[in-house]
Amino acid sequence: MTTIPFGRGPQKDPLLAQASNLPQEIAPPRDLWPAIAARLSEQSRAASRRFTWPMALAAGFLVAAVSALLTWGLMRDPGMVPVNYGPNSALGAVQLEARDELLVQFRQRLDELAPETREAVVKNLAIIQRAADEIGAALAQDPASGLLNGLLLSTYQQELQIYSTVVTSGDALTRRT
Amino acid sequence: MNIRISMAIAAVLVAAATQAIAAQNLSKRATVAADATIDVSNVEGRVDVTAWDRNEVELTAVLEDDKDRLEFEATDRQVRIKVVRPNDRYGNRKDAILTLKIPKDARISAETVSADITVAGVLGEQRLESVSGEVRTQAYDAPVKLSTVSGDGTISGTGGNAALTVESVSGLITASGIRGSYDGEVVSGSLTINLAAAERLNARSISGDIDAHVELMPTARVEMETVSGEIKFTMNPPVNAEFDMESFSGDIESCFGKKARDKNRYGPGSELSFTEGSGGARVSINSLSGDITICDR
Repeated sequence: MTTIPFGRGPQKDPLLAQASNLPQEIAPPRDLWPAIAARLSEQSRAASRRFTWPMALAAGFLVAAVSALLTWGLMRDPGMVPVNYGPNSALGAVQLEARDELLVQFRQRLDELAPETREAVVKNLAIIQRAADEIGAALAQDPASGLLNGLLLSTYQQELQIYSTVVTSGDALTRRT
Repeated sequence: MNIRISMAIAAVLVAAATQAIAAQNLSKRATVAADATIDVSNVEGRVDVTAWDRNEVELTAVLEDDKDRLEFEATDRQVRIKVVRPNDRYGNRKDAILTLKIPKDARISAETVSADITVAGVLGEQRLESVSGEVRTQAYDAPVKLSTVSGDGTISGTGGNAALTVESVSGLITASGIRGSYDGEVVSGSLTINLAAAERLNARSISGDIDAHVELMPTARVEMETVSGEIKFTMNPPVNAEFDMESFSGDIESCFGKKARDKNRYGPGSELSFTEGSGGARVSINSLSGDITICDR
């Protein structure tokens, strides 16, 4: 077993003495960089090919199609989605149940309306939903606000008013004889 | 070639003549009480009602579709007129035009889908409803209720004390020249109100604008409310009223020299309460994000 004397230095350590005799740099047998650069360039081109204009266009069409489909679904049967008043609403189960009963009649009558009128009704229900969302967001900041709770109740009444107006409008007229 | 053209023209003329023949021209008449109730319903076309000094109802009807049927039932107290379109409620696009003369004190109740309604000179109570038709009437002392889904409405007052009730989803509703009370609500439609003297005024909207110009009675009560619409309230001077206005995120502007203050030090919301003149009338206006403007000019 070789004992290495305490203290490092080529004079005292034969291994270090051998290492110090090694060349300071070794040149590679061939230049590897051009190959690496070529590979990197190829990867970069592949990455840019991943999102081309036609693909962006297709994605846009897809988003538009999904959106249109959803809108069509709502237009076709908007009564399927009654206004949601959110978790901060003080509206009770009794009020919402009363609305659901009216909603059944509303759905039946809505189909009998002229397309442009139906569109106006659907558009205004969406306006009421937006109003309910805005009031709900405000109520999250100030749940005890008399102003906000009053506005929410009015908005709910307006929703009912739309259902009621549609149900009763043209009542005598659309009744088949 | 000329023969062909002549034949084509002849065919068109025959078709037009057939069409003209297909239209039904009808007239009905009944003697009724001065304050009888007249119920009219129509789908497409028009309902024109005028008042006269006779205790009679006279109806002239033009039904462009030969399949339409006119029902006319009359007693001393009530007349019921209805255009029955048995097969095709919509898409027919053939009008039924009803022209009515009724006693001036009669009550009128008219209901249509897309047909316009025009009422003139009727002193009795009125209930006018249309889905998408335009409704125009004159108000006197008796109550008037006007209701539409998307149709516009106009009530012209003659200085009487009529109580007006208007409801519309997206219609533009205008009322003017009334001295009585007003109760109106719209979703995205608008309310334009011009009252000669207001005892009670209630107006509500979701996103529609409310523009009211009134002369406040000494004990008037005004309540207006919107979520995101704009409320503009103008009063004829001198103004003696207590004001109480609040908005969550909308602006409150007053030309009485008073400024709105923040409701909470750190939270949203502003309010403005003050008494102008000797008070008496009370005005309350609220909004979520809609702007509120009050002024006396």
